Amino acid sequence: MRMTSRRTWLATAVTGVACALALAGCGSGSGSGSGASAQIKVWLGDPVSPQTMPYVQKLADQFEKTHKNVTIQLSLLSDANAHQQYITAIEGNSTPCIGLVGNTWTPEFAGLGALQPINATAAKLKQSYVASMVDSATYKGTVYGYPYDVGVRALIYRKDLFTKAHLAPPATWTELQQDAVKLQSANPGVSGFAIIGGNQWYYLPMVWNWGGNIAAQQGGQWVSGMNSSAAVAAYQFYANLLRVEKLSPSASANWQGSDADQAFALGKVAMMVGGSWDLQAILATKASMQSQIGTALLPDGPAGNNDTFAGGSNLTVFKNCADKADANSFIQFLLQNKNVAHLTSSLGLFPATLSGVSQQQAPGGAFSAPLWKTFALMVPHSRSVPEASTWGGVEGSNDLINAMQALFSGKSTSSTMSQLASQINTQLNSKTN
Amino acid sequence: MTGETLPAARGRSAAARRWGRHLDSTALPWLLLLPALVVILGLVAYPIIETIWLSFHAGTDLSTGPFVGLSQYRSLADDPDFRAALVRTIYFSVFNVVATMVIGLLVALVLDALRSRGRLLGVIVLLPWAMPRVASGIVWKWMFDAQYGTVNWALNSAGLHQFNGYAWFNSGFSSLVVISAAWIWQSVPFIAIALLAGLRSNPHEIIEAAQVDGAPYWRLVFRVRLPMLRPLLVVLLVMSTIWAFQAFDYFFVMTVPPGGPDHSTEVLSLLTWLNAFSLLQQGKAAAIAVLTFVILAVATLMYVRSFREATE
Repeated sequence: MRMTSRRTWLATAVTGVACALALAGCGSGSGSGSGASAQIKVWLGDPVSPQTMPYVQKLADQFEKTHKNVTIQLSLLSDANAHQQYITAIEGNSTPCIGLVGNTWTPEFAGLGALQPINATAAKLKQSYVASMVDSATYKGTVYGYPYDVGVRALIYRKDLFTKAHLAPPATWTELQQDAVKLQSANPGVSGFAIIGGNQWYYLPMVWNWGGNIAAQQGGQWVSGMNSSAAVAAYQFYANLLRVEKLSPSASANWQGSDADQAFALGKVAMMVGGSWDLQAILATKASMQSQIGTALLPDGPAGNNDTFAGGSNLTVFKNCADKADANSFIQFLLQNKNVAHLTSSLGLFPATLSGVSQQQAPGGAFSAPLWKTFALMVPHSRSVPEASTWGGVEGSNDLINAMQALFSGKSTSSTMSQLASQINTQLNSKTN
Repeated sequence: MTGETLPAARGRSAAARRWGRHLDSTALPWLLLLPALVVILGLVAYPIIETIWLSFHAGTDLSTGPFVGLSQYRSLADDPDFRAALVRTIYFSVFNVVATMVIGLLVALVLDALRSRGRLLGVIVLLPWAMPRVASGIVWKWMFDAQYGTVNWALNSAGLHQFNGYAWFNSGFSSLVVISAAWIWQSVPFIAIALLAGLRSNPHEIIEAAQVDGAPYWRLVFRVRLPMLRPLLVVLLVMSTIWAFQAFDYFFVMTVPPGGPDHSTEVLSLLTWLNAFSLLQQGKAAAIAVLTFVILAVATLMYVRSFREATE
């Protein structure tokens, strides 16, 4: 009886240890370079979604067929938690091998020492990739990721209303304001221009259009230019479109892009700044509007440029990846134009390679029609945010949005913008860059 | 042979039995409790101690950082955003806890009066409690949408034309009105059902005696039935206060950006999250969390003390 019990105990213990070892083996590292088989863990986020995930899985299966010793393990992160998951993983040294990370996060993760540098200079990469996206992957002169996709904004307008009012698309922001006033008064119930106060990417680039900068390095420190006369004028101009000219519903102080898309699709907006994904959302809501919609390059500001923000993602290899060679091979496979374009074009985005952008606007490409080609023409006018590892704090604090909302509510422009510049300085210089 | 035992051996076995009994009465309960204690200490005590420890450190980015003593707390005292969030949280909690308790009590009294006829109503009343807060937050936000919301439509239809296109989320005050409405809607069911259970447990003899004495309905409720529920009321008040202080989901879902516009709906829970996960200022976030914990502990003690004084 006692023998049986001892045996049972021994068997249980051995089984337990074996299970523990097996579990430990399952959860080990983010890739194994030793032995015949290597597992590459890949974390995917925006623009990959549950709808496009099967396509990426198909690509992974294809890659595995030609790389018999490699197993690709894909995981899709939710948009809301992706940044937090990466930060937690970096802290716990449990990062994946490959991460498709938001372009504004790349310098942050590089600054935390989590990313493997790319074996190519920024100048060299800019011969093949969209320059602003290479900038977004660059930290202290070293590139840490391959640009995967890029999205830009343009002016989306109601062609029928412009024709009726004998107006051409505005070439400058001043013209846009004048046209919006005319269109609003001529079309009761239609707002002249959709303000998107809850998302800084729709108005922050205006600081560039007015000749200012968000922040620049001076003597080893980041100094925000948001209190410069150019930046103050740009923010004030946008705020006045709502506060003074009342060219948009008052609730648009909190609007996101999707709110403006909805209002546009319902015929309640004459003009909006929107990405190609916004146009896609509008047409998905109301396809019959296609003939009524036109797109144009963004208007120039007083500084003579219409630069906009380059949104997108970069494919990065994390430092603790045990099989960097295979990880890089898989990245190069994913970056092939045909593989990227199939996914990005379904989302209204571009591959981040120059040849990919060209192919998309060439006859037969997803952006070849005049309505869509405008976005391809905006790609060279895109820029990246300051390449600071602490930029995530500026985004996360929402200070850029809160400042604009303060101006909407009538707070003093100079003190609001001075406070904003001070907040950005604190965030950007919160550690050595 | 079997019946005879040496005195020394008899003494040893008696001592062993005494020791065994002693072990049974002292060590065994602890041994049996040990697994549960380990789990509780691991899941409750460790995070609390770790948070307190972190609040005494710089805690920026991914590292605990150097020990900074009370400087996180001192900087919070000078932080206007924190002070504003603290005041806002207290106002929000006081208003919502009082409103929830009053409405919850009224609903419980109605359900109690309906007896078995109110079963279906009881299930319907409980539904908001079962709804995920994020989902209900999105629904409430739609209801109060300036252009397409049913609330503005209803108010406008009722002749209140100032609500035609009214942007509820453009100011801190009106945003808090909507968030409070959603929070009360979600919290009332639990309070109501708990109070209903309490009311149903009132001894019938006492109620009947009061009725025979001719006590009017409301006097019966406030002088006889509710005093018997004091322990339950204290528990519900403590729980409601904790929930109100920790209200996060509705603020996060309904306001743009979270805590906006222009910081006007920032409460302590949101500020903790913002500092911890958006700004990666773990030390500051830990200090805010500890202060919230202390405030709630003090509030709980005050409730319990006032309950004791009332019952003595």
